[in-house]
Amino acid sequence: MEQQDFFLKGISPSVKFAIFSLLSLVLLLVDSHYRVLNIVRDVVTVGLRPLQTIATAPVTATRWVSDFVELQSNLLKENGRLQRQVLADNSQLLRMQSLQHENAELKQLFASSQIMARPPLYGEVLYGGKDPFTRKIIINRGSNHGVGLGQIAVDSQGVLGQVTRVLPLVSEVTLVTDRNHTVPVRVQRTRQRGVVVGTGQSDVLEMRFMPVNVDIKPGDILESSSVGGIYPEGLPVARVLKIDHPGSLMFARIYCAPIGNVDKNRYLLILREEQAMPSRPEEPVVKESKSRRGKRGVND
Amino acid sequence: MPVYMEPKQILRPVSSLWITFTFLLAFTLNFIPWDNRVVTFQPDFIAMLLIYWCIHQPGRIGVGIAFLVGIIMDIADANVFGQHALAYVVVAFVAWQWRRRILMHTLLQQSAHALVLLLLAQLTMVITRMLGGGPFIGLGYFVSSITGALLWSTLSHMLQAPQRQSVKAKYEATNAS
Repeated sequence: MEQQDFFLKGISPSVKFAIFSLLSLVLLLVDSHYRVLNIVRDVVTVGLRPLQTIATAPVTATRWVSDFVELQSNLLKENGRLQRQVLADNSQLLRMQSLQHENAELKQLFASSQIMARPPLYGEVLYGGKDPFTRKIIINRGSNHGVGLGQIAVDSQGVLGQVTRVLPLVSEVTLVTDRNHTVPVRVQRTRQRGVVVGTGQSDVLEMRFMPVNVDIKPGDILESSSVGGIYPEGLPVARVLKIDHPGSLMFARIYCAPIGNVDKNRYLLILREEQAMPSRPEEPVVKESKSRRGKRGVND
Repeated sequence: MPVYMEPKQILRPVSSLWITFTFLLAFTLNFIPWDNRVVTFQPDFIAMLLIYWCIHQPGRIGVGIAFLVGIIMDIADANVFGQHALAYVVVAFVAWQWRRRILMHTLLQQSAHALVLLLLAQLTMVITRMLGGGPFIGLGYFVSSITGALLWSTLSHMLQAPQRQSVKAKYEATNAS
């Protein structure tokens, strides 16, 4: 091994190997425990942007071409369907507006928290995150367009996920199916609160920490509760698939499927509502309750 | 041990520009947004390229470049810093150690070596993630190494093309004059 090279060229590869593997291990530890390397990340991402644009160009082109050569009959059909949809939606919207007014007035009477409504942002999915260990998508809206950390992404069906990293031109949305993602929810039928956690598989979520005798049936809709102040109230999140009562566990195992098209959608909306939170209570909370766990909406 | 004894073509030296260009191309290939089903088959082009250049140009491409490229991949994939870097450093080192042995084999036998090296890269990444508290991701994750190994001979031919071509062009030019 020592006699491999006639001439010495700097440090030997074994030493280099030791140095660089140690360096990567240190980086791994530093990055997973402290978020200090984000500046480096931002700079390099800007540099990589042209390459990513080139890489996504074929996809953009095929999308553009398929949009362009869409049959007119299909377009007419879809147009008709959308028109009918708009009519139906509008009639509901009219009722909803009056309800919203009424609700706002009532809330003012109770001096409860105000929701600052800003128009939602419309975005398109650029590509799915490559890391197979997490469930993330990259969208074509960034801080230049007004995306902020922790905002919620939805599609026409339900919640998709939450913005977890914002760059100037693109941002990263962690899907509800990600293993570290938690959504505070309540059961639509019974108003029972709980949390839904991703499993890392694309079509299964799990509702955790529910007692064995909880009143939840397959087919129940879980909608977001505003506990924690990150998710707006009442967005459909998941549908209950199956409930197991393993004798060995304290909690029931409740499996659900996400309602939003988590893996198939191309367009999405970023909701930018901000809830004015009341100030924290002064007395320290002694007991860690279930709903409090829902506060950890932002994954880390 | 089977030794590849057929006469080999003498290749022109590799230009640094070509190496840089191949890395840019591999990055672009790695960034292509595949469908979720296809993505399990997509080989890590950067890892393949690193193995190739570590074997063929051990003086130029080594552990240091592997680290640098790994960091860039980590950022592009929005991963934890150091995951790809560690995997690539390990693979580059092993490829460097094995370079003489691998070059003695035919392309088909080389791709078997490449399979082992690509699996090593993926295994390193899985282990780092599992040490960080992740779950085991399933055996399907390793399928992309097999695709990578299948593409090995194509990759080798393509990467050597400019070296071959210039030899041929020069030969023809001298013959014509």
